[in-house]
Amino acid sequence: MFEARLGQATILKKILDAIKDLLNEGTFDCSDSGIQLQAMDNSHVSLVSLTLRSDGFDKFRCDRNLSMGMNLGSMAKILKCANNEDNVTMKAQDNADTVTIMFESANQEKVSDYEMKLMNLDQEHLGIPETDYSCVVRMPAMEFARICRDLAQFSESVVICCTKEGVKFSASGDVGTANIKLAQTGSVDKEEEAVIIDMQEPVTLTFACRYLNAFTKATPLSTQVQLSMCADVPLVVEYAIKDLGHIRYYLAPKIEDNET
Amino acid sequence: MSLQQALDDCLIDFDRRVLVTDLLEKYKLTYKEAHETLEAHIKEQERANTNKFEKRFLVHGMKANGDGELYTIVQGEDKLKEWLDKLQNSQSQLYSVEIAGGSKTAAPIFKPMQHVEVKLAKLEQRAGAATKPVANGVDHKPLNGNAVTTKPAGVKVEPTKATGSKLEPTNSTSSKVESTTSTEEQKKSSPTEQKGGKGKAAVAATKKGSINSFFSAAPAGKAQPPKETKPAAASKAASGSMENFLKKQPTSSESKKSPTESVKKELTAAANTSVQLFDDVESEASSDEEEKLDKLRRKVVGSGDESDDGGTKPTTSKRRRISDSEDEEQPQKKSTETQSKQQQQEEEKEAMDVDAAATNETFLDDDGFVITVRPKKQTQAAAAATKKKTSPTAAASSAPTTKKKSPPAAATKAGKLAKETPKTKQSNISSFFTKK
Repeated sequence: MFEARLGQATILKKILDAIKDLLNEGTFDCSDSGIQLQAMDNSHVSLVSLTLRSDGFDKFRCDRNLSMGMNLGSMAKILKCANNEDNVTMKAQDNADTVTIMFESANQEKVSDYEMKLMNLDQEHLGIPETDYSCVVRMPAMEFARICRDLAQFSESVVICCTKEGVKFSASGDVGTANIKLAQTGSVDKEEEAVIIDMQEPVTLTFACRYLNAFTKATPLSTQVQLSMCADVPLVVEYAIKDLGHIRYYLAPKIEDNET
Repeated sequence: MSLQQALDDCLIDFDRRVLVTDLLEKYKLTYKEAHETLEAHIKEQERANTNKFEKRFLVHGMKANGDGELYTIVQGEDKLKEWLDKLQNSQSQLYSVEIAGGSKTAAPIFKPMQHVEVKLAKLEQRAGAATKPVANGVDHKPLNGNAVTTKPAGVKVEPTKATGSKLEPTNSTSSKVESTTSTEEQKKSSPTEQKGGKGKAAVAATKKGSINSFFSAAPAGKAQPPKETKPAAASKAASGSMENFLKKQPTSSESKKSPTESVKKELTAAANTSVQLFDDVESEASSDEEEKLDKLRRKVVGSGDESDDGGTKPTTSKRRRISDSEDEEQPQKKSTETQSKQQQQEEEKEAMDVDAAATNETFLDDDGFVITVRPKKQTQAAAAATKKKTSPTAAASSAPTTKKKSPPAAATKAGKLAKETPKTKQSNISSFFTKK
């Protein structure tokens, strides 16, 4: 028996919104520690890793480890039926082929439940090694989203250059060249507006704008985003989900094409 | 030539499938005439040579279960009878003839007629029919009972779409019934398809050309002011050589890839293009072979003063421009490199023609560039040389106007981009992680 209850459906809505553009389907691996989802996008360029800790749920029960393959588009549709303030409960029997998603209004007067068919997804799970990243940038999630959106107008690729002075996002294309430099903030009143750079050595990496923009769908989940970079290693874009877990996106860098 | 004559002269090769439609088209006959002539010939042949002919018939009729019309081509008279029995209101006509068993390459199974010319005697034209409907360049004749418009449909069952109304006239004179519906259908379908295609093209054309159709090309005098707004255009106006240089600059990266080719081209080309060659050769890591080529080129150019001067200075200016667009650390290095290279070139020049070198004056100008003045060539190329000397130096000077800087900078950036974009490729995420 699996049952997980969240106080606010809006969080789950945001989570689904954050991943459904990249992933059509995904397997939620439920265990007593929480819910995890790991999946590559269709083109196998990026990887999404979602972790929702069991202690972040209002109620969490997982008698046996359970993998629930779901069509994320369908799940997002169901979640749209919920009001933001509704309680949401996910339930599934052991070895069940359906999951029940139940929404309860705050005053308990309205209860709606939706049953969704589960899928048997044969997805590869990748082992993500512990990596010491050369540069870790923490910056406002909104700012990152804005930068990605703006630079996407110039090029398909964004060059992220991180030095001790700051982090520079560049894109150049037919239109012209765009450079956005963010310096490390000295002192800020609001923590969420801070740009903090933890740099071991300077890094310059190129990434596809398209994926970065897809990652920024998670912006509503967190005020801050963390970019972890290291040469020849995928970029990690991490959005913390307050008191619940995190969503991490891994994006393979664009590498030099030796063939041309 | 009549059909009968052609048959008598054995001009029709029955080793191949002979389509009646072809005969009708070629000899401008009515079906009846063609059919009778052909039948007579076949019978005669069969009697005389014991040759067997294989006939195919076009069968038209209504399906027994009321599924609509059916056109099909059947082989042999036995099958024809079967089909005629099967179909309601069935009709048949001879479609093709060939020698049985002796057929070589089969003629196309389905070959509709391309041209139909029928003159109908004693036929009054309707008022509405005065204007012939023309579609796709083919006149659509009004269908009449005695019209010979044999355009057989496909081999297989097709014309379920065919409109029954079109068949009505054909029923009037059953002896001369032709597969007119198929013609109609074809005429209907193909023009629409083509219309569709044309329509799209037309739409595209109108979309693209709509604004152009409203405005005529601006006169040359008026076209200039907008050019002036562009910095590149301003530099175009400066000099012809400069214009060439700017035009060629973006391609220089490409030409670098195949320096030998460009050198060959240069050798055959006029002197002004040697500017490019010089850039290319110079930009490459200097090897012995390249030096030889360089020397050879100088020989070919002959006097070389104009072109060389023109060559070296645009080169430096180009380099300067490129270096300007580079990171701040780069330019100084590059400028020193260019100077040293320029000096080398000058030395080479001097070595090449020692006699002339004796009279040369070499000095450093205000901008730090080595200038060699050869009084020998002053008579001919004085004006041109001074122009070329002044303009490149102006272009190359460290304080040049932003106008001149910007276009090459843009060009180099574009060049950079062009270089960057193909160089990177998207790697796969799974290559970074191990599978569990």
